[in-house]
Amino acid sequence: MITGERGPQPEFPASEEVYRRFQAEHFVQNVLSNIGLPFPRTSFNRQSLSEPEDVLWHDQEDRRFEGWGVFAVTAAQTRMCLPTGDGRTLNFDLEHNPLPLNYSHTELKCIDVDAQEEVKRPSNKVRKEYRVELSRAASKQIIINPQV
Amino acid sequence: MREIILQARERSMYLSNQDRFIAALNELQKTAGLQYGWDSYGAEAPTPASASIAKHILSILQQSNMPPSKVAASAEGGVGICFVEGEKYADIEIFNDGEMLATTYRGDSEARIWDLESDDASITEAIKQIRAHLSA
Repeated sequence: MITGERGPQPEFPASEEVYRRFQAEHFVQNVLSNIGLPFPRTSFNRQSLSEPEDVLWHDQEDRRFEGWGVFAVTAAQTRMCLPTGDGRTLNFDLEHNPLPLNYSHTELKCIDVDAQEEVKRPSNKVRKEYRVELSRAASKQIIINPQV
Repeated sequence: MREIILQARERSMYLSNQDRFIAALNELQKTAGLQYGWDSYGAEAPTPASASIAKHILSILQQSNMPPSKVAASAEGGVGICFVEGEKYADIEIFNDGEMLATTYRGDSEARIWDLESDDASITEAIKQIRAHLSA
């Protein structure tokens, strides 16, 4: 969906889902491994502005990812608050960040609660904690199974 | 007679595990050909160093006769070695920066994540803990 002159819609209801594609290599015995999920600035398509299968299309090119799977998580499931171990607390949330050819494009971001600044790259361990929890939620909402 | 059957079963399990290690090594080999952006979202390809550490961990797993369920490139840059037994999950993730983390969880219970040192003793201990988790 072309963005055109439209701006982002910052509100995310807790029940709104976001979609992301994944490869069969990361789907192990019906479990989506966190190994296939990156953080930060993880890309999704938001439910209110797209269909699940839309995420199988490349954002910038006329190319479809054949055989890949699609999972969904709700905005509520992406919202987490994790301690860093050095006294800081990080809030994880979604940000609607439209691309020219994908108005539904959304990214995960991470904010230092005290400093109110975005943290570009938390430690491997904090990112892992987040990725593990997100993959566990995603494993329960596989919308399209990948072709093995 | 019973002993012969048990021996045959053990041998069959050993051969099955050997097949799984061959598959795991092939999966690791596949990660070596990946380029930047292999996940379509801009993931780094595994470095030769992280792949080499993964290969070493696979050799320790083979000595322990404990084949992984999957070896795959990590979307964070690096290699992941995954184990799944029903609702029990574990992995060892080797990042391109050399850091390693081990993870275990079961169903909806709290996940356990811990740092691994690069020495064999630390890796062997993590494998022992993962085996205990999967067989509990």
